[in-house]
Amino acid sequence: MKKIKKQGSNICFLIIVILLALVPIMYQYELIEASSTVLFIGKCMAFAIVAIGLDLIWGYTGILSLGHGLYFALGGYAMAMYLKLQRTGGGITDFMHIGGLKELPLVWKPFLSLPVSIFLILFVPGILAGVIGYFIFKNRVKGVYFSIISQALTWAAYSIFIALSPYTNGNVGITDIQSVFGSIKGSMNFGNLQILFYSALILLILVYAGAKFLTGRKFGKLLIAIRDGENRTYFSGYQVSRYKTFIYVLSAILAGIAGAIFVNFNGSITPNQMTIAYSITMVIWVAVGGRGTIIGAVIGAFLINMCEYKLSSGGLVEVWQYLIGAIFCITIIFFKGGIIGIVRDHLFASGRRKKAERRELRQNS
Amino acid sequence: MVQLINTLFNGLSLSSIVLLTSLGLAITFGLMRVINMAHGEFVMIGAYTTYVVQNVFSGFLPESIQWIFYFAAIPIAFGITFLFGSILEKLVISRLYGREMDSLLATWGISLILQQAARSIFGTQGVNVTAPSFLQGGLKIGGCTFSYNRIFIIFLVLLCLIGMYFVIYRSGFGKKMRAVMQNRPMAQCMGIDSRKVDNITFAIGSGLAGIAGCSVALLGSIDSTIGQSYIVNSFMAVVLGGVGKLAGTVLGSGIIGFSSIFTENYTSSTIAKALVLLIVIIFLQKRPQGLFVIKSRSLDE
Amino acid sequence: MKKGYWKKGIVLAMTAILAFGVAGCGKRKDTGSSNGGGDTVKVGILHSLTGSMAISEEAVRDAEVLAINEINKSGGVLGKKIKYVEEDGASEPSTFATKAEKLIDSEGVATVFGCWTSSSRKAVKTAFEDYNNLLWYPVQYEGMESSKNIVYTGAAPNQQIVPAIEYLKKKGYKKMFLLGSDYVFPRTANMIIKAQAKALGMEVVGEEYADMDQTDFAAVIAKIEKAKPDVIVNTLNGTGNVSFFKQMAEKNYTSKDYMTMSFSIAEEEVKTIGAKILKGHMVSWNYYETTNTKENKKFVAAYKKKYGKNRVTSDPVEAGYDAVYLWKAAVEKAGSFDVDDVRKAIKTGTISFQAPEGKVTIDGNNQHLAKPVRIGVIKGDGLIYTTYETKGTVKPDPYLKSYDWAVKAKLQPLE
Repeated sequence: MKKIKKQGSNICFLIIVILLALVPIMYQYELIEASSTVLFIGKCMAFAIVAIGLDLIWGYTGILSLGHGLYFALGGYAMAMYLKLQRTGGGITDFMHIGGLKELPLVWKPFLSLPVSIFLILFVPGILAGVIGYFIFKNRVKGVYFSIISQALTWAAYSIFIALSPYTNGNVGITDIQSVFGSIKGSMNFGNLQILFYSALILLILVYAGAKFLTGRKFGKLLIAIRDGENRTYFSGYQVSRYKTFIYVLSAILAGIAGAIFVNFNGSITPNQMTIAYSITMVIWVAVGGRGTIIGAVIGAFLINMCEYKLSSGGLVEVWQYLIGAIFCITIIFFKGGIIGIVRDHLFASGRRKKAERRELRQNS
Repeated sequence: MVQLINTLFNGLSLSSIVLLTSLGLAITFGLMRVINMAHGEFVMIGAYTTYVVQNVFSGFLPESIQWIFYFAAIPIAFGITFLFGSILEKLVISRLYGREMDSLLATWGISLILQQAARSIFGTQGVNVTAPSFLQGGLKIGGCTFSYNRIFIIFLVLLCLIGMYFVIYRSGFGKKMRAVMQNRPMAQCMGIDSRKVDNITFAIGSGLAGIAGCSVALLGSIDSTIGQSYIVNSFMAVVLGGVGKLAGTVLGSGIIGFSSIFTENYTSSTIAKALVLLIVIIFLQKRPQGLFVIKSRSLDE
Repeated sequence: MKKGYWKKGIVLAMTAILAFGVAGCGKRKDTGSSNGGGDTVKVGILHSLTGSMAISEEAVRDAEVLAINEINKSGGVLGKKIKYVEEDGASEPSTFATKAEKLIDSEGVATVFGCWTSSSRKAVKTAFEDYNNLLWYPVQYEGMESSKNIVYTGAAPNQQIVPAIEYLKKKGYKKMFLLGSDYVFPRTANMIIKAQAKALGMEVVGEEYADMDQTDFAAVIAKIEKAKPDVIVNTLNGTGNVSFFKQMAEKNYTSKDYMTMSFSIAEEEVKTIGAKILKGHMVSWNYYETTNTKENKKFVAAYKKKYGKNRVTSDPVEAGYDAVYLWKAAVEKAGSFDVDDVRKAIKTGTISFQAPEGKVTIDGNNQHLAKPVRIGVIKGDGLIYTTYETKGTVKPDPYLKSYDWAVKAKLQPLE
C-alpha cells in the first residue's frame, strides 16, 4: 500500500502509456473504428507535453503564465514552415506571392533543412523565453503582474503575426501541410500515422521522465520553496531569478516541442494558438488535472480535451460551455489539488485522516 | 492644426474609454488585489442592459422623448452589475482571498459562463443600441468635429472619477474600505465588518464596469465577445499606473490611449496595438510597480 | 459534515461527466450510414456556435437545417431521410480541422456543409482532400482557390468585387479608399481591386487594415479624412463594421459625405449597425432579402416562420440553403451518395437549382456557382434593394483568368 502511494503517479503514468500504446493496435483490430480518433489522441499527447511544461512553472514554481500559447505556436510555426517548404519544394508559398514577395524571405531559409528546423523549434521559444524571463525575473516582477504581462506579450505577438501576413499568412496561418512522415489521414496512410503516434508517445515519455527527474531532486524542492516563500529562498542564498528563468525557458521549450508535435497531427498552425484564451485553456488542463504533480498535468490535458471532443457537438455545445466554466471554477475554489488531489484525499488518505479526526475529537472533548 | 486638434481629441477620447473600462479594475485589482477576468463580461452585461432598457422604453414612450432611456440605462446598468459583482464576490472571490492567481483563474471560468449565458439569452448575433438623439452627430468648430458621444464619455469619466474620489477618500465607507485594504487584521480589530466592506467594494468596481458597458454600447457592436476586446488594455492601464492609486490609473489610461492614437497615425492599427503593448511591457521592466507606487515597508507587496 | 457530503456530491458529478466524455471517445455510434444501408443518410454541419464567429455563422447553420428539414418533409434524397450531425468549430481553425476529421472519419458523413472564415476553410481543406469527402462552403470569399473536394456556393471575386468596382467606375467614382480588417479576404480583395483600378484608371488614395477586434476607429477615420476619397471600399468584417459606421455617424458623416461600397455587410449587419446610419450606402452581393423571385418569397417566409419574425435572410444564409439543395440535386443525378460519384455528376456542369436568388448552376471545372450579381443600396427600413443587376448569371472565375488586367498583374497563384 505504501509503495502504491509512493509510486502511484508513476504507475498511473505507466497505465496511460500502455493504453496509449494500445490505441493504434486497437484501431487495427477495429476496436477503435476511426483513424481520426487515433489522430486526435495524438494531438492530446502534444497537449500533455505543454501541460507538463506549464505545471513545472505554475504548479511547482508558482509562476502563472497566461501566454504559453505563444511558445506553443512558435514551435508549431517553426515545424510548419519546414513542412510547408517540403510541400512547395523550397519555392515560395502562395501567401508570399499574394503578399508581393518574389523570393523566399530570409527568415524562411533556415527551415529548408530538418535538423536546423528541429534546432529552431527548441531554440526560438527557448531564447525568447530566456530574454523575457531574464528581464522580468531580474526586475522581480512576480505573481499576478507576471501573469498580466505574459498575457499582454502574447496579445502583442498575436498582432504582429497577423500584421506580417506576407511572411506568416496572417490569421490563416500555415495550412495545407503533411506530417514529417507524410500524409497521416485516412486508412491507407495509417502506417505513417502509426510512426508519428509512437514518436510522439516516446517524446511524451521522455518529457515525463525528465520532468520527474528534475522535480524529484533538490532542484524540485527549490522550485517549491520559491513558490511557497520566494523571499525566504532568496535570503537563504539562492539566486531565485536564475532558477525562475531556467524553469521558464525549459517550459517554453517544452511548449515549443508540443507545438511541433501538434502541427504534425493537425496539419496546420494558426495565430489562434497564441491567443490568450487558448493559453488560459492550457492552464485549465493543469488546474483540473492537479497542479504540482506531473501526472496531474498529463491526466488533465487528456481528460479535458477528450471531453471537449466528445461534448462540444450538436445540442451539447451550450451545455459544454457552461460545464467547462463550472468545472474550472469549482476545481479552483474547492479542489485546489485537482483530480489528483481528490484521489489522494479521498481514496488513499481517508484512513489516515479519519484517524486524525478522531484524535482531534478526543482532544477537544 | 486641425489635424493636431483632431488627434489630440481622439487620443483624449480613447483614453477616456480605456479609463472608463479600467476604473472598475482600479478598484477590484488596485485596491483589493483581485484579478477579475470576468470584468470584461461585466462591461458586456452593462451593454446588454442598455439594449434591454432601450427596448423596454421604446415600448411605452413616444419617439420624441425616447432619449431618456439612456439616462435610465446608466443607473440600471450600474445596479445590475453591482448586484452581479456582489453575488460573484460572495460565491467565488470571498473564498479566494490571498490566492490571487486562483481568483484570476476562477473568474476566467465565470467569464466563460457569462459569455455563454449572453449567447443563450440574446442569441449569437449582435444587437444594436441607437444613440439617443442628443448624442447623435457632433459639434463642429472650425474644421474639427467633436462627436457629442465622445464628449459625453469624457464627462461621464470625470463624473465617475469625482464620484469615486468622494466615495474612497471623503466618505465613511471609503475610510473603512481603505482601512481594510491596507491592514485587514487591524481593521477587523477596530470592529469593521471586513467581509461586508470587501463585498461592497468589489460590487462598486463591477458597477463601474456596467457604466463602461453603457458607453461602449454606443461605439460598437454588442455581442458576447465585446468584453474581451477591452480587457487587456484595461489591465495594462492599471498595471502601468501602479495599483492602489486612482491617479495612476488615470495616467496609465492616458498613456495607452494617446500612444495608440499617435502610433496609429504612422502605421497600421495591428502594429500600433503590438507596439503600445511592447512599450508598456518594456517600461514596466524599469518600474515594475508602475508609475505611482504606494510606499510600503512590507516585503511581499 | 454536511459540507463534506456536498463536496463529495460535486466530485461524483464531475467524475461522471468526465468519465462519460472519455468513455464515448473511442466509439462510433453508427445509426445512419453514408452509403447504402439504413433509411437515413448522414451529413455534417460544421459551423462556429461559440466564439467570435458565432455572430455570423449561426444564421447560415439555421438555413442549412431549414433546407434539410424541407427536403426530409418532401421525401428525402434517393428515398432516404437526411440526418445531420452538428459540430462546433468554436471560431478556431484548428478546432475546425479536428471536428472535420471527426465528422468525416468517425461519423462517416456523406458530405459536410460548413465553415465561414477563409482560415477555417483552409484549415479543413486538407482533411477533405485526404479523406476524399466533400465540403459545401457557403460564403463569398477571396478566390484563388479551387479544391476538387470543396464546392463554393458563395461568390467568387469576379461575382462580387470586380462587378462592384466596375459599377463604381460607371457611376463616376474615381478616388477609392480601401479599408479592411487585417485578414486574408480584405488583403486579397484589395490586391485585386488595386490591379483593377489601375486598368480602369481609378485612383487608390489609401489602404488601411484594422485589427480584427478593433473598437476605436478614430485614427482610421482621421486617415480617411486626410485622403479625401470619394468612395470607401469596405472589406471590414462583423464587429469592425459596427464600430466603424457608428463612429462615422458620430462625426456627422453620411453616405453623402463618404459613400461606401461594402462586401461584408448583409441584412444582419444592417440590423446591428442600425439602418439609420447605413442609409444610402452601397453593398455588393448576389442575393438580398428583397430579391424579387417566387422562390425567395417562399424561402423568406419559411425562414421567418421557423426562426422568428425579426430574423433576416442574407446572401450567406441563402448560399447555405442552396448548398443543401445543390447537394441533393448532385446526389440524385449521380444516383449514389458516394463522393466520387457525386463529384462526377458535378463535373457534368448540369447540376443546378432554382434558388431564391435565381437559377444557379455548379461550374463543372472549378466547382463554383454561376450566379447573378446585384449591387444594392441600403434603405431606411433596414433592407437592401437592388439598384443594378447583371443580365443572367456571371460565370465563376476564381483565378480571374478571363480578365486581362488580372493576368497582366500576375494575380494568379503559383502552380
